[in-house]
Amino acid sequence: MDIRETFEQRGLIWIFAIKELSARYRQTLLGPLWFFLQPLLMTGVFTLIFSKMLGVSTGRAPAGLFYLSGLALWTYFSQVVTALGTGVRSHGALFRKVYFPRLTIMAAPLVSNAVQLVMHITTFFVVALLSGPAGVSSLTISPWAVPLLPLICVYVALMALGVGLVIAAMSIRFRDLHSLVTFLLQMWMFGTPIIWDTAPGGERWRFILDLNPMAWPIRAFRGLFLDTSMPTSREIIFGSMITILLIAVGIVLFRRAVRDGVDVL
Amino acid sequence: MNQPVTVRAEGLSKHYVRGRNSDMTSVFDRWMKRPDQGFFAIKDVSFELRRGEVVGLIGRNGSGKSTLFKVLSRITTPSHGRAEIFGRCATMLEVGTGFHPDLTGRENISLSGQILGMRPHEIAKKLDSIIDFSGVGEFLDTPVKHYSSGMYVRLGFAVAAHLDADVLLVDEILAVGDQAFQQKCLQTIAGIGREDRTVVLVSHSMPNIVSVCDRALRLEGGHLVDFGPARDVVTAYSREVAGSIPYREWSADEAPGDAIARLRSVRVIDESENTHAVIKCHRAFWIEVTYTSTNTKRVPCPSFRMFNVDGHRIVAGICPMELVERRADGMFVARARVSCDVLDDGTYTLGICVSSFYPGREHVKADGVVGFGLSVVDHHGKPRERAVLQAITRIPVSWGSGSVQAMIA
Repeated sequence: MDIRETFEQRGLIWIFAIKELSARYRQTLLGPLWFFLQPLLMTGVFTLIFSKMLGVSTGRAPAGLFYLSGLALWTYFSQVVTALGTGVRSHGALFRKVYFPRLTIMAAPLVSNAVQLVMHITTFFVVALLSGPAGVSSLTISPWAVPLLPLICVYVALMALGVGLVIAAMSIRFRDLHSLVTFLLQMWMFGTPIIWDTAPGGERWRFILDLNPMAWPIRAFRGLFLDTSMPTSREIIFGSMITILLIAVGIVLFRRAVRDGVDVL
Repeated sequence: MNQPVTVRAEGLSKHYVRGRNSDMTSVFDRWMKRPDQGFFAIKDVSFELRRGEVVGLIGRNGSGKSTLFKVLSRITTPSHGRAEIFGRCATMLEVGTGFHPDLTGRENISLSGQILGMRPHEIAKKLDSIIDFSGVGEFLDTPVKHYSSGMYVRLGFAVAAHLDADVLLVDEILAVGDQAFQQKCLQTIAGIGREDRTVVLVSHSMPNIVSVCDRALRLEGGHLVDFGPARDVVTAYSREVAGSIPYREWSADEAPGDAIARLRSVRVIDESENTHAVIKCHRAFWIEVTYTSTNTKRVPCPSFRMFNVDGHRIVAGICPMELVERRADGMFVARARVSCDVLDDGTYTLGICVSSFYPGREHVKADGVVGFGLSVVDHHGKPRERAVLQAITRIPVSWGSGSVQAMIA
């Protein structure tokens, strides 16, 4: 059975993750500084466009911290999904040359990108603490944060694995899926409470929050540290069900696609 | 032969659909036309291998050797039948599997080793031995992309040679690396086989198969056509491949070669300018190579290499450059006269190269293009009675003889 084998050889997940990380920052000018630069640059652009130019409200939370927190889990999610979506292709040579539990290489981006996530969250606190009394006073750290934060992260990781595996399975047959995925991820981001808090259209758009399994973790994450809304239990239950379904479908589809698809890589 | 079975294939088949793509036109084509019948890369292959043996896998290109390996190693699933491997299996389909160019030699040892199935503590234990075997020593902490191809190959093989698998599948990877390193690899493989493991080795080098393997499997068109002691399988195979065609011709499109020179035909002809599957030879026969040349700067020179049934290269010759016409464009023919005094009766194959020099470059390299039987005859055309010497060649040796008394006196 594939799952058991994957568990037995879970060491490979670390190996692939370390390989990816160490290879990513070789021959780069700023190296690991990118861990901090990437969220800061992104937040800067978001603050400029959405808050300053378009005047989108971020409620009682300062715009910078609002976006920085919203982007943390989303960046992780979209990077993992992208990595998994192109993973089968970029590791095609390896797939054709040696057998190992294929799920290990697919699970590796969950680990390697977690480093970025931790750095992103660190950046969030550093920025909050450095941005003077206004920043510090806007932090409303809930006592629930300590047990809940890891749970939320694990949820997002599983969610990303599910979505990524479905895309990976389909990308074996259809090479141009990648362009579509980039576009869909962008759409998905706008449908996720990253630049907005509660749906701007009021009740009429509530279904977006219910049906989007990425909505509640982002709201929960932000709500734990900033004075913003928390997700409803309905959102959490709906989202979790969708995630469980995605994981199951993802694993089944991926196993089938790799079994039949290694010859067309 | 009472060692336990380590590899078992039962009615193994792998079916492929030809040229299947997923773009719009081919999806549409498939929908409109009758579905492609596809083909079997391997068909109904069954065998059992035991612990402690080194088994050669031979066959022409496209006979299904790689597919068999991929099915055995679970890279791809069989369409029918079962493949079972008892114990841990490691595959070497290429050298340096899983190497990442940006990582150092040391990092890649651990990376590649684990992908190929070694546990981290095993790698740590064998690290010194791997480094020693590879001989990359001082470059160990340099990214492998700066390695010479020879160093890369040595490091890759060094890792693979230390795999602790019960079954080791080795594809044709020994063609790379220099002679000395190839010998070292072969000895390692033979050694692994003796250590109570099973090694399956693909090679096109028949001498290697004979010298290293106990038994050999031969595939042809996906079928297992021969399985037995390595020497017997290799001999039968070489006879068959060699005895087939003493004449080969290529169209301009198919001609092997590059932009500068292409091989158009190869022929073996006897003293009366005829080509037969078995050349009857009184004094000599000719190897005729026709090729095209299209470059004004380079002077391509044809050369041949002759192999016996064991795959040993026994005679080779290159057309001297001063004999090759310097006119650039056109089709040229070169003939080499080979005296049959130096050869045993038997079956031979030819490999043809066309190369140019200063700097040396190989434009055509075609192995096993033609094969022929050789029968040395007297001037009446009757087979000449000669002892078969079983030496590689019969170079002329001068003898003197007489009674012992006469010699002393």
